[in-house]
Amino acid sequence: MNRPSTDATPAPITKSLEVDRPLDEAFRLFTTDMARWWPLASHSVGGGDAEWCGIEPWVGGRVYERTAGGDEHLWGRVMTWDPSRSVAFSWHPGQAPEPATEVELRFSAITETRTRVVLIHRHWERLGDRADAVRARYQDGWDGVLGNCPGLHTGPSDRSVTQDSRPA
Amino acid sequence: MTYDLVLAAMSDPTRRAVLEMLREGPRSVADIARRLPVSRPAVSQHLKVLKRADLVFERRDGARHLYEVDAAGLEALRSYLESFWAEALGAFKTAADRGDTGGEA
Repeated sequence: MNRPSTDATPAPITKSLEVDRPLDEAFRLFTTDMARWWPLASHSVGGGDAEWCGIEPWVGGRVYERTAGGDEHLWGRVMTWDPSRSVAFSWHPGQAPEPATEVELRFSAITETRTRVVLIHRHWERLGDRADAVRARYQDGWDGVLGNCPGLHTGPSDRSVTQDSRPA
Repeated sequence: MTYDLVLAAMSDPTRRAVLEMLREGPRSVADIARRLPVSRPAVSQHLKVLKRADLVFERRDGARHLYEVDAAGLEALRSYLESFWAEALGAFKTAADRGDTGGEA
């Protein structure tokens, strides 16, 4: 039952929210001041040991966490850095850099004091795109695995975070 | 960390092949090993990783141990990532709306 898998590419996760912050402040809080709000206890490689995390503000910069013991865990690398507009980074927390998915955040001003933030987590297909002799054979299977997850498109939503079907 | 386990499990081409094979129906370790260019011990190792990530489960059929895809585990993958970002962005919104000014601490 081999089917063409071109349209089975896993859809990006897209989320958007509005915050009561001027554009440049919202961008800075999200990126360079990430440690102020990121839920490290539940969203880190080190778990309870994780102490700090941040984004180095340049292309090629690290997105990473540091534990109380001084260990560092790389989550990804900055791919685009456009202050107050967007930032994109590869995403492979606790994993080798390849394969990595990609996360992009887009910021736009709604008013002078209110900002829209859109998150796009994409390139799921890369997880099935390892250079490997058996790759071609298994590519279909990988697409099928993700494509067959009903939960892929309807995750639980937070009251403050709405889910969009496509990037803004 | 679930995200970690799932990605680790899914990032290996042999494990993806095993998972894909199991989507067709339950199989034993020997059965899987026959169809892939890997040894039985290697297949067992891969199954252990998949099990830890809740992507497959094991059941007994008489004397045989069969492995099956854990559909709930697969569905959990995406919803886990959805909630991962919902929680992270929720925390961001809380901090942002609070007027927690960055840079002066």
